[in-house]
Amino acid sequence: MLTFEQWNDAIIRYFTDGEKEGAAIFLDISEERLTEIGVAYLSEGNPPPPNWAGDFKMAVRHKCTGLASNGQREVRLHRIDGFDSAQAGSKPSGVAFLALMALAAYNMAEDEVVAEHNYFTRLRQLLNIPGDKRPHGMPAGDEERLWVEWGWWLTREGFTVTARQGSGSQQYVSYPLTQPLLRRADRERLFGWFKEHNYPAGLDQARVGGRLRRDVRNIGGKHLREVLGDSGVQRLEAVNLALFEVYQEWLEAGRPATPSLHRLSAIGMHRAASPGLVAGLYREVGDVFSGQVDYYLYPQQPRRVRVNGTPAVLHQGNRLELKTERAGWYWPLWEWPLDAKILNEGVKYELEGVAQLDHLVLPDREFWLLVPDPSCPTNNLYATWQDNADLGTTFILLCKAELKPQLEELRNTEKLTWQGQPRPLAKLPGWLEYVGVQVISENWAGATIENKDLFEALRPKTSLGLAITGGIRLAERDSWLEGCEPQITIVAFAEKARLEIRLVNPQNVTTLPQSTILHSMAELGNVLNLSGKADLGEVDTNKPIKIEWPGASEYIVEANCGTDFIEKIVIIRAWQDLELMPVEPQAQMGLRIGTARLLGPLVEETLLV
Amino acid sequence: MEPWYQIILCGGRAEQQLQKIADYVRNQRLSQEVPAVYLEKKAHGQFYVFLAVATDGPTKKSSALNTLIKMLGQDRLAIYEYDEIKRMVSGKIDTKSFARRLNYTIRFDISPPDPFDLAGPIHSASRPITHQTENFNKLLYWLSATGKGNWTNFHATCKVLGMTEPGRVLRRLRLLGHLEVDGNGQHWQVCPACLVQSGPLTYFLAGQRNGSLLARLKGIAGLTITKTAQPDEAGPETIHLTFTEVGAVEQICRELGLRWAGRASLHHASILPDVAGLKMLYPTVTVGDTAVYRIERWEAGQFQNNGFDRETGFYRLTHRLATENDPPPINFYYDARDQTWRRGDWYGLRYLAQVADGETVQALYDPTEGCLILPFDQRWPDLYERALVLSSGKLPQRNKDWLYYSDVTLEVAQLLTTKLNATLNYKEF
Repeated sequence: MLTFEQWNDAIIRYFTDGEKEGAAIFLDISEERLTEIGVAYLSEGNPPPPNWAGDFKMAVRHKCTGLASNGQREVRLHRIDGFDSAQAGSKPSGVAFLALMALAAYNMAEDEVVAEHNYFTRLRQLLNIPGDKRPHGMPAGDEERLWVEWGWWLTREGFTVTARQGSGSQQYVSYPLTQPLLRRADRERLFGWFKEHNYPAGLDQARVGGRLRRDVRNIGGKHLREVLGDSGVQRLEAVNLALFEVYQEWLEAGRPATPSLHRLSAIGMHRAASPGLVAGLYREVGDVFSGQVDYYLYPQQPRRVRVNGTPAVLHQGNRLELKTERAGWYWPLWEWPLDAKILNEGVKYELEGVAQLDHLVLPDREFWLLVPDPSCPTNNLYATWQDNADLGTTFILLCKAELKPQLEELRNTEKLTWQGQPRPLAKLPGWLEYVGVQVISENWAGATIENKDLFEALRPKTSLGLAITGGIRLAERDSWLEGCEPQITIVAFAEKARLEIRLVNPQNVTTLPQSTILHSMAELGNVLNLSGKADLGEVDTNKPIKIEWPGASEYIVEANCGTDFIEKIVIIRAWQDLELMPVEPQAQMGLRIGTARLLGPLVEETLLV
Repeated sequence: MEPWYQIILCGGRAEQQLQKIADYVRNQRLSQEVPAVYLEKKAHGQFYVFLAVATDGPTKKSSALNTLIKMLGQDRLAIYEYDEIKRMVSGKIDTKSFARRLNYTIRFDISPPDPFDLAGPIHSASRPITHQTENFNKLLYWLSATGKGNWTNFHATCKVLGMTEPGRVLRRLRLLGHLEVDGNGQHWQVCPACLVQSGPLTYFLAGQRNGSLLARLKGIAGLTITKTAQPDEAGPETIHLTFTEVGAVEQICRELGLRWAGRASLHHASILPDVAGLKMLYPTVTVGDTAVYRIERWEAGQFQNNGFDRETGFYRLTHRLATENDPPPINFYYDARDQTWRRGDWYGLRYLAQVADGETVQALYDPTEGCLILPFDQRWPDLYERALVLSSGKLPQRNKDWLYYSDVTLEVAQLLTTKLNATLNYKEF
């Protein structure tokens, strides 16, 4: 049997490896998922257990339960410790237990009322403790410490926390209930839907999600309909991934009408063994004089795969190693700018160097949506960093020229707008580039464009955005300089929204900050010091709010409007704490004269003649 | 939420019914529940109204919406697809949207100005003078922490710091050895922290710096650190280091991870090519059909639109049909002999044109002060001016029409003026 700690580490890595910055992380656990985690992260050097999911449950029971003096089994969460928020590299130590809690939520039947006793019945089954109430040894809220540690660590690592406290009787049960994206019944329903509607092979993640959303009204299942409902851009991508995984499973299983558990388990093993890489697009202005734009393949790192080694792309006798550019992405393939043929037809390159990765694919699509660099929106770089743009974000749409009338229809009916005229691209004949595209209308009812995928990609998925603009940004994620902090704008269709700011305080991770109403901005520092969370009340939307940041620290900004909420981290760094970025002189920098290279004041001798 | 559509059979005048619906939706704040209405356009008699309703099915209507439906006429079935509306009506469809609009726009500068374009006059400091040095210091700290970036990013940061001429800022930082740019000025990279020798026992810091590095330098025994502002506070302050013995330098560079640049001024002056070689350093650009550009030539201190006669010179090209999404005007040196357009730093291109025009370039050396004096309107190409600035770590002091470069050795002055075809005169005692 593997240990609790081994499973804990594997689950953390599985859900965060290859994820991009800002990704919403759900502990979307199922028995098949546990097989996948086991095969990918725990099989090296360990004899495989007969049943990965069973091994996981045993490991959790062994660590987190024990026999009380009355002979009954009880939960012992005090055995989970060792997470030190102040220590770099320290990982939360209770994620395996949280995963078990999420598995209990996953196992809930669709018609089950979301009530504490129903949830705890499922949890007790997994813990092998009969009954339907909170298990002994786990008083109400006892497990919240583990959720808070997990959330704090995710925030620090640049991800978006998804587990949230509920209200009333669901105050603590809400945490695990928010985690499974698709329940077992949803997967069964999706298999049937794919089969019935003869979904073609070769769809990508965005298109599978888009098609299902279009049909949401006709797809049965309350939970599945809720999942497919509009729920914000960050959640949307995680949902799209979950839907796409089911679609892939369906294809790999030979397009059956219903999944078989045995086959799904085998698919879990297969998926862990041989996925490929998917590329998006990266845009750069190549020639500043002509304004010529170049597009490059931008490979996304594999998610939920343990990669040993460096993958290399093979193409026409050339070999190009893929190096990490940022979390979730490899550097673009600068050597091979895209041409229209590749863009029209898609491309599949062979990969070598990593046993689990055998190909890199650029899907053939009729349009691509490129958003500004989330790490530095002012650097004029655009790529497919997100499938959808946040509300208020202006983006670039690269599309086939034949879609022009449909886009004009959307603009004429005031659904969206763009800057200037669409531009033809000399290197990509047949394609047009729209810049400064922005969604301006909340409801797209009755828009009648023919291309449903385009419609689904463009229409707003949320009514709330959070624009953090201005100030001086640092290379470190979500960081600004003290004295040059950003402004906050809540972007919304509504006129008012609620704004809260709280500290990400490593000293305070075991208790949730209590919100205190802020009467004036000058109080912000004191309020945050005292209670950790300031409620700025209802504020005007779509207008920049000047925050009097109380100094160098890490903050979470949260906006609420109706049932929508969005949060982002803002890190303020002091000037005196800035570190020097390691500098590796780039080839195009400096001046080569003979064998010498002038780089600033330095004169370096090179081997070039 | 995808809407469904409530069909209502109405009578009367369609325009009046439409207005009635609009008034009701506004007064009852129903725009989220009823984002749009579609109306069969008929002149008289009965017609259909289709209310788009964003609720979870027809059973979830609000009482206000039920009242509206009763007010309008006879409700019929509900449908779920907009396309069905088209099939039900014979005439055109009038649409009125009640959906909320986003009252928020953010624009990005698709094409910030050319980083090499210094055509405008040099602005005098509009802020209190102490802010200039402070802001330049901050900018250098930011560059040091960021490592590399592009021109758009640099431009945006300068704006936040209140620096109105990012192109000049970029140039000055390059002259001081703090950063490098690529051939078309679109990308920058900070130089690694290094020590540059300015005298037998005096040095200055170039490249990256931060609070920690300065604190560690201050802690070194036998080292005196002084900070001096740039002339006119036109750059980050110079950090001078004076050692009591030569041997200490190597050790300190090793301990603090500083690169050793030695007498950078002399090294650069020795390596840099002559004017003919300089021209070859600037990359050529394919301009293509010149008719699509407005081409202005630099004459008498400004760009003038006198047509393009294919003469060698310094030009500015602006696309005639440039729109807000197109690139900004770009400056070039055109060489009539090989018919090439070359791109590079402003003063460099202008200097090539001045030499090609046969202008006599003057330089005056003051041996007692170790000062090289150049006419402002014959400012040298950036690479050569950098060699002068690296003599002292200080930008030139401007006095009327002259630029004064301090701590320049005679050897450096002679090397550079010879390479640039400049006449070197000596200030008399």
